[in-house]
Amino acid sequence: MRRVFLHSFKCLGISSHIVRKCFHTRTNDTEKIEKCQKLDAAIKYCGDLVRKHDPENYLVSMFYPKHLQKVYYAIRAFNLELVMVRDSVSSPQIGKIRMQFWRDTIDNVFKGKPPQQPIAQALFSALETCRLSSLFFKRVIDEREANLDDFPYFTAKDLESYGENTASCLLYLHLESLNIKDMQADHAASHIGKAIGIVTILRAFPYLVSKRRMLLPTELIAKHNISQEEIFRSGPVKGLDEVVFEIATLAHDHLLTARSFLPNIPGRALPVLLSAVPCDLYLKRLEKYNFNAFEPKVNRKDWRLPMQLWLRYRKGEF
Amino acid sequence: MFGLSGIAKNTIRRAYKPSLIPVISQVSRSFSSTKIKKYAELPPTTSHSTASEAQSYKKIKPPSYLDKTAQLFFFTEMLRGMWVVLEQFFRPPYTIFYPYEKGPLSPRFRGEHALRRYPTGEERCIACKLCEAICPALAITIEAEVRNDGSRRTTRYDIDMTKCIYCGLCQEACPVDAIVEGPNFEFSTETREELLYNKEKLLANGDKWEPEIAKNLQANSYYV
Repeated sequence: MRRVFLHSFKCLGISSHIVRKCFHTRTNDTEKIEKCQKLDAAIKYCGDLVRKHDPENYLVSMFYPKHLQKVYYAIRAFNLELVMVRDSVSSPQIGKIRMQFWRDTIDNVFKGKPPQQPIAQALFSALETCRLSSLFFKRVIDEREANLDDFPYFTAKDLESYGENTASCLLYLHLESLNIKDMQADHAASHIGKAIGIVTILRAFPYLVSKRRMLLPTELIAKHNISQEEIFRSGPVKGLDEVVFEIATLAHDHLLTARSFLPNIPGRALPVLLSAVPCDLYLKRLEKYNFNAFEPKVNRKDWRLPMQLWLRYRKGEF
Repeated sequence: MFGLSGIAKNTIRRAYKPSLIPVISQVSRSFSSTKIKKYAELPPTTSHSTASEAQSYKKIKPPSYLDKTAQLFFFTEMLRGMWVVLEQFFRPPYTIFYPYEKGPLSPRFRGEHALRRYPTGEERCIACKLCEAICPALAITIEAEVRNDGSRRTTRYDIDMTKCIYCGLCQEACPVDAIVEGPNFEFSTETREELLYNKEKLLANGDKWEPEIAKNLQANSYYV
């Protein structure tokens, strides 16, 4: 029965193609215009999504060349979709279904048959302007899928690998979109990604605790004799600031290592490295408030971020 | 008189509690010539209680018969009850004027279904059929075809609202946020047939509720 249906669809497709060919060439033009309009709408959708949910990275997009910003938005919007799966799903099983959908979508985009979804369309058009490898997309999906179960990280190394598989992979994609093939830049991106991953977990810490999810490395928590239940019940417990301090130091070390590569990195790669700035500012705020991750002022948006980004871009540092 | 004696008994029991001496009974107490004592006799001094505590117990006497009769005949409970009513009179009401005024709803409320569109007006659903697969009540039916422009869309998207158990799994499984359970809970109909929703009805719902749905979805998301 199904085959018969498929066959009839195919027949329909062919016939419509013939009909289209029979029309005047003008229809071809209108089709092209329509396609362009659709693509513009898709890119605008991606940009809006990033601006709404990830304003810091939206600011960073301003330092990319104009014609590559759409690639940036597409990659970031793709990341956001994956990030938001965890919170919109009540059981990991359903989350896995969604992840599988995105895996298929990436496959189809690279095969040249994107589904009618703005992010997929935007990624498809991005592939026409620059070469991206599907491997990094897959790695992000795999890592996000593994995180659906909410297993706490065991050691600080696991936390680093989370950063490497999510934030670093996105940075590699951005580097690819800028057509930079440089070992030093890749190295710096790897370290920045790790720092971003760690900072993301730290920033989300109060929110995660409110949802009874604990992602800080269990090894560190055990070392400081803190019970998870105590954190869930009474928030900032004694010794937690030391754990936060240790993790934040790790992130800061990665930033410092990344900075040491700076003299050997081509200047074109700087927009990618600017992603480290929000993370650096967060670490500074955390230090100011004695590594109390629960302090609301630490998690507030920083109004100096645009200025800082611009200044550091001008100075050629991050 | 039997009811009143019941009230009186209750009052006496309350008067024995050290902290619960009602305000108005104090008024009646001023008519009494005897001093009020909370406890009949000195409580047995344990090792915990200090000498000063025992002293303070000594001073208080239990209500005398005159106090009790005064409370009984001056209807002090009635007055206290009226006072409570008077207080409530000046407070804002707990009830709401329902059809015109509605109570607060959680952003996660799962009400009537809606199919959403993109800001361009294009429908979001790409006929992946994940909602149909996950629906535990088998309430969703989808048929799809490929359109002339190469996009895969649904030709039929039916939800049987009489089967639906409002578990919200369709919304959770949808990778493009097309099918959602909106904040509308007032969609009762006169006939059963009206509850068999088709695609047009669902899209119309989406157009009608889009601002609220978008807001609720945003309230649920967080970047980790």
